[in-house]
Amino acid sequence: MIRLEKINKTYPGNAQHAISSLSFTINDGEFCTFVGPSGCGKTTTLRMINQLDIPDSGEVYIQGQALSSADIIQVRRKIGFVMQSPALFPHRTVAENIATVPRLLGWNKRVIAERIDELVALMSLDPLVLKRYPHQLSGGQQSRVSIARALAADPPILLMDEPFAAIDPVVRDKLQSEMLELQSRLHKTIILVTHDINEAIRLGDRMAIFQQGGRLAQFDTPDNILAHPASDFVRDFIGPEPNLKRLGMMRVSDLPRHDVLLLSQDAKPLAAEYSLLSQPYALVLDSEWRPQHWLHQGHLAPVRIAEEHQSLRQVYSDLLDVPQGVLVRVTSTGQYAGAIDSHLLSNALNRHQEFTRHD
Amino acid sequence: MGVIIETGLWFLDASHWTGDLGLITRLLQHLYYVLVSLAIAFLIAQPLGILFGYWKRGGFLVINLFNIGQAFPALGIILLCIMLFGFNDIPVFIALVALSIPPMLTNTYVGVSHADQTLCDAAKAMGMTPLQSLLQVRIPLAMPLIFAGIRTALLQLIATAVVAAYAGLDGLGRFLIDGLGQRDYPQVIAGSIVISLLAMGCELLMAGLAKRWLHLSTPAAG
Amino acid sequence: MIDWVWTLDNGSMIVELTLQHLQMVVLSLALGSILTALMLFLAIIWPALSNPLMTLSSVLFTIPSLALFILLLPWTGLSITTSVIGLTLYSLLILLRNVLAGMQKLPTEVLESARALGYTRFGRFIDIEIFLILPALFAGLRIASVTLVGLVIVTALIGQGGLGQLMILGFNQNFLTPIFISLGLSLVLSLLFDLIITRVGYHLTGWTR
Repeated sequence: MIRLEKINKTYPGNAQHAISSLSFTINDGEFCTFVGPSGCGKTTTLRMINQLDIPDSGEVYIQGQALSSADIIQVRRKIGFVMQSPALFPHRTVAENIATVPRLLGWNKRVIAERIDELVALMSLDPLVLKRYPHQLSGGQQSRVSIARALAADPPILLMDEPFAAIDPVVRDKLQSEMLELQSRLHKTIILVTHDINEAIRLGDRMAIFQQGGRLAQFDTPDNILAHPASDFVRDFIGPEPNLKRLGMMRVSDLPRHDVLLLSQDAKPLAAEYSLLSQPYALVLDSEWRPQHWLHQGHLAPVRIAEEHQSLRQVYSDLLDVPQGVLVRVTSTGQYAGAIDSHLLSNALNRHQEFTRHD
Repeated sequence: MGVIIETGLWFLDASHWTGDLGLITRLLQHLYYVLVSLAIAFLIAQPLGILFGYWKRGGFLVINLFNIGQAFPALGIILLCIMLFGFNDIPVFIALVALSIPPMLTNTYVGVSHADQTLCDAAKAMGMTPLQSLLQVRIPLAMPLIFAGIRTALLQLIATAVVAAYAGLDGLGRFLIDGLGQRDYPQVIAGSIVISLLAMGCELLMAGLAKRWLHLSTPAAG
Repeated sequence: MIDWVWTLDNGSMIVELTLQHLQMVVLSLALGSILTALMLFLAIIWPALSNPLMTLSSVLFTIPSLALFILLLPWTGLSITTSVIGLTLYSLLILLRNVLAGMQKLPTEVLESARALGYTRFGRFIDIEIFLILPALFAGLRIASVTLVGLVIVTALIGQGGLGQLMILGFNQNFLTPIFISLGLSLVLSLLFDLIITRVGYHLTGWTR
């Protein structure tokens, strides 16, 4: 658990951008994002957690221990740190870079070698890059190595300062997905600073929106913030179409199951277990329960599919393409698993609100 | 220790300051050789450097000329010139000019050829003729390096003129060479002090000019 | 222009003077390097020292070599010590200037991430900064060695050895050959030093390729 208590910091010669009396707590295993406009103090706050910057007053507690009275070198070796620039040591190979903290901690050579192999697999790196020097790698590869280096000693806490800001959008998207997958496996306490609200919404379990002067405008789950912004500042900051963003965070698999009228290929009605969506078309399934086409008064229409992992925002967009206004859910083997219409989506948004309000 | 006191006394002796063999005369002679050589070398090196830099040709030649120039001991060149061309001022000037061309030529060449290309393109896009862009954009951009080259050449000249005293040149070096010959150490040390002050003074002057005119402080090049 | 007969006759003297020249350069470079390392260490412990040090070395460097050597006279007299001290001082000035400039050009994010990962100050120096400064150091060694070859010649004026003696000999006897020989040999020495140092530097900085 990371706790900041009444942190104050002023920058010499820049009184208006100080941080005053900032306090909050981050729970273990939480992926927390810090967002805000430039100069709001989010990066400085992050850097105070591993004491790269020192608060003028107030205290940072990590697992109950105050940083000001701790051996900061040892603390840092247990916190992974990734910056906007990969900042790999140019005179060391990739493998040596990754091995940095384990070497500092005195790990056994064999253990280090095994750990490097683990990390290479974890970060989807090509083992061939291990012997290369940083300048021979692409930007995306360097970023991955930088993260691998931060994770090498398996620290419980990972701090990231705009790690994907300088990466091109396609690679960035991939790295964000990898980050989410990593977290689902590793369950570390991660704090990621970004200026990109969409990145923060996508990645964070909880999002801390900073305002000028290091003030916390809101600190809550992305969905709560999108649904109930605490102030005009937050409302402006999260940007337009908050509902679309919320839909973007939900998956087809989050939706309750609803059915449509089902027919077999020889026009025999099939049993539907769940409540029906109200619409006139019937869905024809083959003997394997795979959807074939829509049928209504002798008129056929093609079927549009929604896969379980797709975001509801994607579904919403696809629904606009379909005249019937219904998408068919399928399992990974292509078998019928229910149906979706836009009414279901708006219910989901509101119900989502209800669920989280009862948390 | 005693020699320091004797040096102090040497300075206090008025006769050491005035007259044909005095400090003032020798200082003026030294400055004469230095400044005249600098001016001639300047007139040769700068146009060449600008042209080569503008055409971006001959870079290999220029850079290597610089390296060779650095490698040749100045004393050797001077002695050589005197022995080949006789015992008067002209050979010495030839040697001094030849030695101070490389730093200015190289620096000017590098400065002009590596002037920020985007700015030069902007000038071209605005409709400047090549000559206008050269005079109004390239050369001003290259000024820090051009100035550094002059600075280096100046200090090099001061030092070389000192050593040239061995070949018979007048100037502040005379105190050193004559003094060494006569084993008159106070003279030798006094001369060294004056030379050092001259060199440091010129360096500070150039640094100050650089700061004022170029709005920056570059360390001495070379 | 060159009297080869004379050259062969005096071969042993020429070789001896060349070796002397070489010795002085190598010795001064070595001493200068050690002193530079010390100064660098001080500059790291007290970062405020770095700029004044730069300025001081720039200023001292402007003093013409002969004058500098002579200024040492009251303390060391006209012996070989004077030359070595003067030469060491010059190599220190050149090396220090290059190394300090290298220090100031160190990529700050790399040092910052080292700090964040948990390196101690000393650890950072040993493991990282020293390696990153090597290119600047070798650039300095190249310049220093070539400069020193020229400076040793000047020490002939205060009675020391080296190829400068040949020049003085030639001048006094109005004989061109020794002057050409010494010019040629000092050129060769300069080239040799430049080449060897470049090679060694190339091998030690494998990561820049």
